[in-house]
Amino acid sequence: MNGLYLVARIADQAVAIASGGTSSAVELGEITPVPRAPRAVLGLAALRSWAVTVIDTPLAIGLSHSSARSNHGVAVRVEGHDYALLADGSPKVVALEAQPLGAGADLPSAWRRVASAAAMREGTRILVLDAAAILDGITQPA
Amino acid sequence: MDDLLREFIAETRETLEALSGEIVAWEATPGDRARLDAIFRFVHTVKGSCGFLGLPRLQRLSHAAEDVLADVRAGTRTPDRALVNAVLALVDRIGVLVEALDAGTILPETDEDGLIAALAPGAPEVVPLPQASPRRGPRTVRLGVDLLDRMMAGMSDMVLARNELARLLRQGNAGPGVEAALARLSLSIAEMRDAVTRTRMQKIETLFAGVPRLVRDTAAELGKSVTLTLEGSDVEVDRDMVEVMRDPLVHMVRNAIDHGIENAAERRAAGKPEAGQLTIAARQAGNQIVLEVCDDGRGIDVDRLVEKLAASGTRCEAQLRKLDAAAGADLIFEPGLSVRDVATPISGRGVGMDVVRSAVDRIGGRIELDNRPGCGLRIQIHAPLTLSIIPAILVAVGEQCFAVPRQIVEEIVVGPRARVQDDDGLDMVQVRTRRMPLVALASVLDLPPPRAEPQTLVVVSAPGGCFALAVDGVLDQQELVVKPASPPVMATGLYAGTTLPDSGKPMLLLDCAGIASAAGVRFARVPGPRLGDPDPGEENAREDGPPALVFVDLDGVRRVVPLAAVDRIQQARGNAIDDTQGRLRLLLDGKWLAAEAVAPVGDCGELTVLRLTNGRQELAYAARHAVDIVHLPGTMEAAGTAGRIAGTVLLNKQRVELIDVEWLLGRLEPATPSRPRGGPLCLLAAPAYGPLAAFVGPLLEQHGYRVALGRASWERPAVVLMTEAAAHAATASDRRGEPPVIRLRNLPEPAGPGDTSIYRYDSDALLAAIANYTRAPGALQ
Repeated sequence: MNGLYLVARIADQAVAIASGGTSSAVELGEITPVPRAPRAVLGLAALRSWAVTVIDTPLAIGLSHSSARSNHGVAVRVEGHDYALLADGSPKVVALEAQPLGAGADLPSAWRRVASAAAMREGTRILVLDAAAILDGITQPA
Repeated sequence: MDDLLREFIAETRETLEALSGEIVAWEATPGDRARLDAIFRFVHTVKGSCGFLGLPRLQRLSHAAEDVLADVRAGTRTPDRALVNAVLALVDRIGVLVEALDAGTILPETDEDGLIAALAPGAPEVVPLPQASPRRGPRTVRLGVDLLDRMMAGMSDMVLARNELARLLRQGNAGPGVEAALARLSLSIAEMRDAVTRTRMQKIETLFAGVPRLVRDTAAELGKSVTLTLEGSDVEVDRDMVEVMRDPLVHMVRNAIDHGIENAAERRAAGKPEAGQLTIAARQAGNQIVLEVCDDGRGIDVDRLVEKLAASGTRCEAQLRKLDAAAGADLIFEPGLSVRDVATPISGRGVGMDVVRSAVDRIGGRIELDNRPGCGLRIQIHAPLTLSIIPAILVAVGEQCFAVPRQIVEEIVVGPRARVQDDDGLDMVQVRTRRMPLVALASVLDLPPPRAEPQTLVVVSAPGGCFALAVDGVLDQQELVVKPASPPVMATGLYAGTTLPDSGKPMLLLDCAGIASAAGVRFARVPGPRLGDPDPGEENAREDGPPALVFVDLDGVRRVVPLAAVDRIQQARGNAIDDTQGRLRLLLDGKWLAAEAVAPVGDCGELTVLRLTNGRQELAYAARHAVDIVHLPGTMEAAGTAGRIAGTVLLNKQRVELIDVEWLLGRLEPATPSRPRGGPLCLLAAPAYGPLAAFVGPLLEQHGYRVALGRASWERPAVVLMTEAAAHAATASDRRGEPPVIRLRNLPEPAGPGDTSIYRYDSDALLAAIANYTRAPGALQ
């Protein structure tokens, strides 16, 4: 799993988001709220002439941190729908050599559910997260 | 010209161009089976389409060619030059006829017999003569779907680039010139995006193009009588979806008429009207398209299916007998099943439902059966939407706007309403003659309650009934490009999709059925005029409607008339009816009464006469016999035009026509040329497809007015309705001596104290104003 990844920070953890397709760094404008949606769904934003669903990524993962105040994130397409997964600070393109996570990896359970691989870079561990797994967490009530 | 016909012409043209070459090549190598099969398939397809489209000459030609080619395939004829020439000449002729079809001209028939005779073995050789004919008609081209997809992707990239440019310009504080250029660019891109999106779209209604013909021909062939009702939608969906649904629809219609609907004798015995009812509806429901085929025939006979399957050895009988009713009905999807021992010309060897199901599976949809043995069958196909263009009404709640599909909005009511609570403590509201549940959109969405009581009610029809949605206001009507909402948004159950309207701010499309559910609304009553999902086993009409008499009319159709209008019911002999100079009279009790008969009395021995009255006039309505006294339901679907039938009501899950007694009695007065039939004429100074016509037109017609659209009408209208803009354009001097004008404004609030205009969605005020003008002395009747 070598290649270029978009790396960002979420709740002080460096992450790369993989979606099986192309992803891009985005800066969002206004977000229109979706009433009665789960907390992790911040609303809809206009991107590429469509309305994309904006996700508060750390909340979706199950952490207590929220990235709602950020307007930076990674745009991905999962199962035909477009999302913007918010992160703290704008993502950067980085070349990584990622290894699949072993069974005994030392990670809190929330991260365990969504992380599929990890890479080391300049002494920091970067977790590679699976976008579909992040989204799955939302449909389960918080 | 019909879309279907146009496509047939385009397709046939294309294939013909390739085919002549194939035929000649085949002559050189007559053993080339693949070529022969291709040629055979072409004529076979043309023949099939011709039957479907009602093109007898083309059908005859292609049938003849098909027969000859079938013989060649079977080896009973060898393709010599004479045969090939004859086939070529015939194929050419098909091409010429198709061109003529496109151009709208007719060709003499004499050649065709000769062409067909030339196919016979030993016939004198024919020399094919190429004939050129001008191609006319709207120019169309056929495009690969891949190319369209590329265009769509290109549009998305263009928008992205434009956004990037806008961002950079904002940072750099560009001057007004650059800003203006950017604005023009944005506008162009938006228009292009719309155009490209539309290339993929087609109205769902186009599925129905060939259906009336299909029903007529199939029914005629089987000697049955079928009444078809089509309920379509002007929602636009991806063309692929429409194409995929076509064949399944044809199968289901044929099955319904062949297997479902009984013949006249069986139906009479079952107490059903002689004509079978077939209803086909297509609509958008949330993020799906629903296609429904509903008949009132005998339903699926599960026992017979089980017998057939067990006899054919494919399934074990004991297992089959254990299936419940629903699973039993699903057996019709078993491949190769036929409940007829002899293949009819129509549904043949049980082909159909398994093919239908696999087609639906392929597009990710599902098919459901609602089988009621003895009463009928309803088949529902649900298919997921990718993208659609939906005419929608925009409503405001607090700071946010939402879209409601225009199709389900029955009316919009403005003004304070009295609220009541029903037994469960749920809010109800009275709209005109109906009571319905009231749902405050703000509270369903957990939005802060509005400062003032919301004054605007949007009456919406959901499966099961209607309810009133309270919103702060109605903003606009737009055609929106809607995408299904993402799963986390869909999970709320309140939204059907997302859209990016012209404003650039994302908006949600409401799922009104879901909203009703979330508000705890339960529909326990008979559904309203739209095609809903009647609850099986539901008792019919409410008890609070007026009593009415159901009877079997002279033409065998069941109708209903309000009991209050029936003075007496008497028997009379058929020969007591007299028809002189077009006026019917009936001799009853020694008196001649004006009579009404829907069909010729013929040799009916005994008639049942309903003596109808309104207190002033009397009419003898001739029928076959009375059936029952029922209570009318609270809602009626009004007929489109004034006439003998006021509309239809739902009784025992069937639509029954309601007699318009006033209209019948009104005809008894001597007709004066200056008195137009029907209600006063209202002139709507608006284009035929605009929102004004779409909304106000049907509203007025339902209340007995006649409506004309446009700038003027032949007949002097009683009142003219126009938008404020149009009213300003007409100067004061134009208005003297002209009919009164009602100005319609777009905003709920009047501009000021002197503003006499009416809010265009305020039905009550509008109807009151019109009634005022049409009753005032001096107004023309």
